[in-house]
Amino acid sequence: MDRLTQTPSGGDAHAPRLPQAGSGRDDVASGGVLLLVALAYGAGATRIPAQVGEPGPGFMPLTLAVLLAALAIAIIVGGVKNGAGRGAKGNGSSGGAGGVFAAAGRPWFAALATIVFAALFEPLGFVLSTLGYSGYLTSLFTEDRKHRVAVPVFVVTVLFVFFRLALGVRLPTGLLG
Amino acid sequence: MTPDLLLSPELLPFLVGGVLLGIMVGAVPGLTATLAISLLLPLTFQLATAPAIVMMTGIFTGGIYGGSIAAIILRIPGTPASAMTMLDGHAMAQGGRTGLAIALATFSSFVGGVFGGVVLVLFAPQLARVALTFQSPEMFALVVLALVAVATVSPESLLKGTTATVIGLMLATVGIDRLVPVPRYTFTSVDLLVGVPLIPVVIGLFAVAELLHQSGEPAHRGDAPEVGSGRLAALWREVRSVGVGVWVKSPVIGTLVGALPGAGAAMAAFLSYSEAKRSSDAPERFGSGVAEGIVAPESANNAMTGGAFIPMLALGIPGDAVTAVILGGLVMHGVTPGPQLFDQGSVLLGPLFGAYFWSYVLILIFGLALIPLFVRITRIPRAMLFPFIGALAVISAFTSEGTTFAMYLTAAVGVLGFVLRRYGYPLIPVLLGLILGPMLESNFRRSMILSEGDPSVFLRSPVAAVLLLAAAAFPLLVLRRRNSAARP
Repeated sequence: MDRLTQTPSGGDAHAPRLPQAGSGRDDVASGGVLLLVALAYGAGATRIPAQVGEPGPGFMPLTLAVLLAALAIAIIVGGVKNGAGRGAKGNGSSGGAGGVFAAAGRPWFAALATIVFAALFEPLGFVLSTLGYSGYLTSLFTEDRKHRVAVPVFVVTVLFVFFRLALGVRLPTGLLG
Repeated sequence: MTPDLLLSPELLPFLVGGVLLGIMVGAVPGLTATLAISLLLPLTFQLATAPAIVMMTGIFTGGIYGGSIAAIILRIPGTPASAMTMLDGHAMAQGGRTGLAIALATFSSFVGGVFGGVVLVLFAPQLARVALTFQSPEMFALVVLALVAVATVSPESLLKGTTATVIGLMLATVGIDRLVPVPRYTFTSVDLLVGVPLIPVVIGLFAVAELLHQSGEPAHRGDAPEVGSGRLAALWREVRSVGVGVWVKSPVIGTLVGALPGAGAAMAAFLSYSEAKRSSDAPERFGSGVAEGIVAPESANNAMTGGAFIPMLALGIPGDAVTAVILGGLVMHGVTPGPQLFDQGSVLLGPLFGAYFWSYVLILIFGLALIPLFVRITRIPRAMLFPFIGALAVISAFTSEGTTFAMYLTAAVGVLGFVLRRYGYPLIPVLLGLILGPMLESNFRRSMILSEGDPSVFLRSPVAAVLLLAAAAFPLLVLRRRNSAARP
C-alpha cells in the first residue's frame, strides 16, 4: 500500500507499530543512560571555576547533576520493580517482524539525512540541498516515482517563495550562485 | 484618561495586514512574532508612527494566536507559547474534531486577548507598579511554581516529568554564565557561548522529533478526520461545557504573568494549563482532547499580550521578547514609553489600544472563517506534508539564527526528542526548563548574594513564601487526586 494515501492524523489500531514506552526494561535502560549523563554533566560542573561568595556558576549544574542522578536511580529502581525482563509493550504482531524492523530503522536514517542536509546546505545551496533532502524524506513515505519527483520540486518552490520573496530572507545559493 | 478605542479607517489596512502576517508567521513552526516584527521594523520606517504601531500590534497578537494552529493540526507548536495547546488540541484533531479545536482556540484567544486589553486600558500604571515589587526572591518562587506545576501535571509519570524538566534546566546552563563571565559546557564552540538558542530547540523537539516519529510509522491507511458540521453550535456547546473558573482564572493568570517583566507567554500558558488541570474534576482526561486543555493555555497566552504591554508602556520595561522588539520600534518612531505616556493623553495610545482590541476581533473573524482551509491541511498526505515540514523546520532554524550550527542543533535536539518520546518522557517540561532555567538560576543566585547566603530570604517575602508553599503543595494535591482516581 502506498503511504501517500495516509494523512497525518490517520491511525489504525491493528497496524504494526514501533515499540512504545513504558516497560520495565525500557525504564532501566533509559535510567541507566540518564545516570551516565548525570555523571558526565556533574564531572563537567566540577571543572567550572569556583566563585568567591557562593553560589557561583557551578552551583546550579552541580545541583542538577545530583538531582538527575537521583531521578535516574529512582527510574531504574521503578523499572526493576516493574519487571525489567518484560519487553516493550505495544509491539505489533499483525504486520510481521520485518515491517517493524524496517520501520524502526527509518527514523535514524531520517535523522542522518537531516544532519547531512545541514552540512550541505551552504556548500550546495538552498535549492540543491533542499531538493535532495525533501526527495529523500518523500522516499520514506511513498514508493510512487512521480511523487518522489514532484514533491521535492513543490517543496523547494513553496519555500523559496515564502522565505526569499515573501520574507526577504537571504538563502545560500551554493553551486548555483 | 481612557484613550479612544475607535480605530480610524485609514489604519485598518495596516491592522489587517499585520494580523494576517502574524497569523501566517505564528503558524509556521520556528517563525515567531518576534522574528516577524524584527523583519518588518525597517519597513515601518517608511510609515508614520500610528500605522507602524498598529501593524506591529497586529503582528504581535496574530503571531501569538497563529502558534496554536500548527500545534493543533501538526502537533508542532508554532511558538513556544502554544506548546500546551498542542496536548489537547492535537488530541482533539486526531479524534476528527480539528475544526472545533481551532474554533475553541480562536474563541479562547479572543476572550483572553480582550480581557488582557481591558486590564491594560484600565489598570496599566497601577499594575506596572505592583509588578515592580516582584524582586528576585518572588521571581525565583514564581519560576519554581511554574516548573513544579508543569512537571507534575505531565500526563506521563511524575518522575519522568521531573526528569524532563531537569534536562531542560541542564540545557539552559550552557553558555556564558549570566552573573560571572565564565563559559559552561560550551566545548570551545563559539556558537554555544550565548547559550542554547530557543527556536532551534523548539523546532527540534517538536517538528524534527515528529518527523522522525512519523517516518518510523509503518504503512497503514489513515482515516481522514471529519470536519464536522454545525461548527458554531458545536463551539458554543464546548464553550459552555468549560467551567466559569477556567474562563476567569486563565485570562487573569495570563495578564498577571504578562505584566511581570521577562515572564512571557509560555509561562502564562504553562501555569494556566496546570491550574486548569489541578482544579478539574477529571484531571486524567487532560491530554485526551478536552476543551479546557485548549481554553486555559490559549486564553492565558493571549491575555498575556495585554499584560506584556503594561510594563512596556507604563515603565519602559518589556514584558517579553516581542514587546522588547516593539519597544525598540516605538523608540525609533520617537515614542518614549513611561508614566508620562498615560498622562499625555491618547494621541498614540489610542491607535495602539484600538489596534489591540480590533486585532482580536479580526482574529475571531479570520480564525473562524479560515477553519475549512486549516482543516484541509490535515488531509494532505504524509508523503507531501512531512518532507515539507522537515525542510521548512530545518531552514527556519537556519533563518532564526543565521548559522548552520542552528540546523545541526535542531537535528540533535530532534533525535533527543524522538528518543525521550519513545521512552515515555514528556517533551514540554524540557522546553519549559530551557525557557525558565536562566530566570530560575539568576534570581536564586541574586537573592542569595543580596541576602549574604541566607536562604530564609525566600520565606521573608510573603509573596515568595506563598508561591513556594503552593509549589510544595502542587505535587501532593495532584498525587492525592491521582491515587483517589485510581482507587476502585
